[in-house]
Amino acid sequence: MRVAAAAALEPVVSVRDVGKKYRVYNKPQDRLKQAVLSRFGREYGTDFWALRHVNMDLAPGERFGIIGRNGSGKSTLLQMIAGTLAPTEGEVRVRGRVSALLELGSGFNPEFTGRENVFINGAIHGLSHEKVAERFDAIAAFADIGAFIDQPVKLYSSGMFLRLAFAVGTSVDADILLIDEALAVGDVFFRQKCYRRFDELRERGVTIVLVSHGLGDIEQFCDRALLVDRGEPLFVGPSAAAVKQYYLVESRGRIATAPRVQAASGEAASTHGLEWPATLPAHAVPDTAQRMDGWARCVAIGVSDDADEECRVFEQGQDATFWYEFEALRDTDVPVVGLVIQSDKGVIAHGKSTLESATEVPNGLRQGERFRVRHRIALELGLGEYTFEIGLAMMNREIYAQRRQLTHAELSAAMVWLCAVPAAGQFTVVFRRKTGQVQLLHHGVANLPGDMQTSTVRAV
Amino acid sequence: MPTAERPFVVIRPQSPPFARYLNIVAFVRQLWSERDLIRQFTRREIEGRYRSSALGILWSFINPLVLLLVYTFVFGVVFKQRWAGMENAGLTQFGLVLFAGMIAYGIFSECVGRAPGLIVGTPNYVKRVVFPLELLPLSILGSAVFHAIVSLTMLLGVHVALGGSVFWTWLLIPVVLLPICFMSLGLGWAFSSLGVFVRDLNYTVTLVLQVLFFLTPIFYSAQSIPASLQGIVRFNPIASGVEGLRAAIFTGTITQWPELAASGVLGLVMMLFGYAWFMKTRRAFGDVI
Repeated sequence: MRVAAAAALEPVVSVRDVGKKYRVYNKPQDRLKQAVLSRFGREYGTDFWALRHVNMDLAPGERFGIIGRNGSGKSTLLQMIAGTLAPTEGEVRVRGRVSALLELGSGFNPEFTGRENVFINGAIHGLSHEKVAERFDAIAAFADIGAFIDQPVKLYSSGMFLRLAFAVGTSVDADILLIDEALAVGDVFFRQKCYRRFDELRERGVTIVLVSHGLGDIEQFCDRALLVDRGEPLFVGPSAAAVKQYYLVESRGRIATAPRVQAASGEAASTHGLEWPATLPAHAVPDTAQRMDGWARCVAIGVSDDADEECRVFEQGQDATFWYEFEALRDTDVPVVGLVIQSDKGVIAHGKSTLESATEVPNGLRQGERFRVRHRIALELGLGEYTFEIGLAMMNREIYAQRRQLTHAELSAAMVWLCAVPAAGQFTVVFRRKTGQVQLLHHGVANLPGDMQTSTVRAV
Repeated sequence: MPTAERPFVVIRPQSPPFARYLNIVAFVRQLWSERDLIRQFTRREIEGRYRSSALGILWSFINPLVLLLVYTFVFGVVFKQRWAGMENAGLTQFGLVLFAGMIAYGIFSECVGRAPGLIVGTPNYVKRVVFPLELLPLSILGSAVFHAIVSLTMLLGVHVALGGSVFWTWLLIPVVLLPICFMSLGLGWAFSSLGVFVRDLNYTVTLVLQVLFFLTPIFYSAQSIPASLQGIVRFNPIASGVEGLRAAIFTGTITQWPELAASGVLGLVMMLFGYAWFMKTRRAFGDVI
């Protein structure tokens, strides 16, 4: 009994000081030459470590995320756990049957029907013909592609393809399920369905390893996560903490974390009395990350939740407060500031300036003066990753005074850009969670204000 | 089996030594455990070729039939060729004898010719799924053997229809073709692995197969080669299979047993070494593809 309990706690995947070195060759032949001639002291190609010094243990039933930027070695690690890549150093120990969805549907043959592909794919994952036949109805039901199941896969839409592949991949008898970026392509309903399936699998004790750029997904559906950056593991721990670390790494690359802006230095009066929250770190922006021409520069950026804590992951509809601050390098006319939110697909989801919101602004900035902005936005947005951009412009006083009589085009023409920070930061919008239950409040890019009423109407 | 009771699979940088894969018992056991997958992939290979065409699998029968009729007509009726050593046979025999040789060689050239592009052409199976790649050359052999059986059936049918005799040695045809299958598989494994690292192999193999086609007694009888050049045939391991198959079908006495035995042993060695080479190198596939 005690032995069994101990065994259950033993990790199912154990990664010990694993590294993967690639030799980059100019010509494919050089690889063979290296293999044969290296022992005579001749070297071909150059070394490159894709990943190094990785250690982790996964418990049975655990949901584990791997995050990091493109090229940080996430997929390499997953492939080594799957056994499709051999490590250069260290050791990977895997207990149980691995099913790898490294790219959904990659085992599919486009000429064959969905039905035939289900059987072939099942076989690749180690299921006998009879077992696939037994589960076929459940697989088809999950994929929900109707009569298309008997059409060649090449006629499928990418969504149908994905659904079928996921249905097969998660219906095999795996103890460990490895998933690479699989869900990024699905719509939100399919993603919810996938996560319900993950819950079921977890209850059966299946360990799931998920590699994703969807940080919201990682935070909400993984117990723990590993953060890798440029081939080095930076953090292993609770997924929420890993995601936070990711954003820190992300800002370190572009925005240096500065000592907190001191409000006590006597300039409080010149910032319209807005107090930068003591709990919120102010990130400084290097000049290279700004577009400016000597009139003003951005000196601090911060994003917080309602509790004034730094926050980068928001639930749908939650308020985010963007803090940003500029320093005038010369005397200016009337300042106009604003912020633009862009989705990961490049769609401008929202943008608002002090002009549009009719916010009161000073008549001008004096050289050396700081201009602080507190910009609160209810993130009634679709799920996903967003970036934001901030900018400062100025406008001639007379024109500004007549702004209500002028058209948008005339106002735009009168605006002189002083400073813009194109990649000021990023944040993630995730499902709203109420009592642990995931809720989707709307779908699409934006949640528009509105209300609905219904009634039944007697037929005339 | 519950997860907790399963043994750990350990993935280490060093691959197991080459010699480990030469264990014939482990070799057979490994392939036997994959038989279900091998069967499915062989079927896929056969069905996939003419997939989406209106006649589908029927093409596998139409192709050899038309070829057989053309050979019979051109060489028998138009050129009135006679086969050295079978002069008494009917005129149409020449096409049939020729066709028999092509069937035997076809197994070999299909397996070896497809090999260099086999792994390179399926990057998904290398990188994206956990897949026993070693069964791909086997599925090619399976498909080649299937097509050989179809062609042989037609050949024997036409032979009988034209008044040819039936011999008990027909039953030995599988045995006669076994050495060729072994060699095809061995080279299939070796070349499908080498083709990953040396992309030129594809063109080299195509060329060599064409040369070998004419150096093998397919268009001519081994007897009609000058004695000084007999060595070419004697040391060509495919020749024994080609000659043996013809003997089994048309003469009823197989005289090539010593050569067949020699190439059988050679084939077994090639098969085992080809497999070991493939298994030893397969860990590097993912790095290259």
